[in-house]
Amino acid sequence: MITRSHSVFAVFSVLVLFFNQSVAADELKLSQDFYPLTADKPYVHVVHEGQSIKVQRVQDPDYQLRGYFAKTVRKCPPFCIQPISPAPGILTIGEVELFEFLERELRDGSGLLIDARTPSWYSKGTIPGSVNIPFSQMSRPADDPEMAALLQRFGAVERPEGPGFGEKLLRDWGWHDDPNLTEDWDFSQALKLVLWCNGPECGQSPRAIRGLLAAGYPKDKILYYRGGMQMWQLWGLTTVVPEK
Amino acid sequence: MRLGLSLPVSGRVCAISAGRVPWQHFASPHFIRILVLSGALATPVLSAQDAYLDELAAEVEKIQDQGDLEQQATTTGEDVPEVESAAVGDAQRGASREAFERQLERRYLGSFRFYERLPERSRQEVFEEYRQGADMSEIRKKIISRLLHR
Repeated sequence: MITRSHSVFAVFSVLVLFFNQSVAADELKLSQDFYPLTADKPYVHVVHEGQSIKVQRVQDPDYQLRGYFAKTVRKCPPFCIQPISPAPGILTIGEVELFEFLERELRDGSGLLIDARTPSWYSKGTIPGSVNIPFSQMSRPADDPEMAALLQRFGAVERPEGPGFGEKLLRDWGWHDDPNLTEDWDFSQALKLVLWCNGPECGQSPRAIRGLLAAGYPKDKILYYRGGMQMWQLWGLTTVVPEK
Repeated sequence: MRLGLSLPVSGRVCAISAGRVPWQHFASPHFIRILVLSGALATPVLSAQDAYLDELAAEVEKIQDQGDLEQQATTTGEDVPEVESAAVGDAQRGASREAFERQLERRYLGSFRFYERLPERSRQEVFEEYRQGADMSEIRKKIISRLLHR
C-alpha cells in the first residue's frame, strides 16, 4: 500500500534527481556562456588548507582588473622585469602547465607549489594549493641547518657517509652525471617544485630557485611560474586569502 | 694594509700544514686580517638582502585591501572560503534584487529555474538571506527547501 510518506519520498527523490540533472545541465548549459580555463578544462579543484577550492576564471566578461596587480610599472631596481628563466636549465611554465601540475603532481603528492614571497605578501592572497616558503629561507647556505631541514621537507635524503669510493672516483674524473646525487644529498625522491612570486617584475622566486640550485637541488625538479600573482589575477583566476 | 685573501707564507703556516697549530698563530696579524675580510665580504651580501626585504615590506603596503579583495570576491567559487570584507561584501550585497537574480541565473541556471517557481514571498525571503551574507551554496539549499515546502 502506498502511503503518504511513500509519496512524499518519491516526489522528493524525483526532485533531487531533477536538481542533480539540472546541476549537470547547468554545467553543460554553462559551457556555452562559461569562460573555462582552457578549451577542455572548465576549472580545476585544488585542496588548500584542507578545503577544496574551485579554481576558475571570473565569469563576468565586463570585469576589469583593479588594484595593485593592475599596475604597469614599479620602481626598478628592485622590481625589474626578470629574464624568462632565472638560471640555466630551469624550465619556465605558464598557466596551462600550472593547471596540469595542480591536477597531477600536486594532487598525487609528488609536487609542491611554493609561494616564495614574504609572509606579508602571502597574507594578502595566494594561489590555491600554495604553501608559503619565503625566498629568504631558500637562499641560505647549503650547510645551514634550516636549509637542510627544508631540503628534507622537500624529500631529499642526507648522505652522512658521503659518496662511496666508486662514485668519488667518477666525480674526480668528471664522469658522474646523476643530477639527483650530490656529495651530501640524495634527491632521487625529492619533490618537483613550482615556485612563483608577484610576477615578471618579482625577484623573490628567482632568488629562491638560485638558492635551491646552490644547495644541489636538481634543475629538472624545479619549475618557475614567471607569471606569478600578477598574471594569475590578470586572467581572473581564483585566489584565496590564507586564514590568519 | 694590502687587501687580499692570499695566505701568508710563513713558518707558522708551514706548522699548520704539518698538523701542528701553535696558539700564537691565531693572534698573528695575518690571521686576524683573514678573519676580518671574511666578515667584511659577508656583510654586503646580508645588507643587500636586508635592503631588498625592506623594499618588499614597503611595497606590500601599497596593496589596497578593498581593491584586491574585490578581485577575490568575484573570482571565488562556491567552495572558496568567504573572504569578502565587510566593505566589499556589503557593497555587493547592497545590490538590487535584479542583480542577485542575474547572478543566480548566470551561475546556477538550475537553481534559478527553481527560484522562478517560488511565490513572491519566498523569493523575497531568499534574497533577504543573500543580503544578510549567506553564500550561494546556502542560498541554493534554501531555494530547494522552499520549493519542497510549498
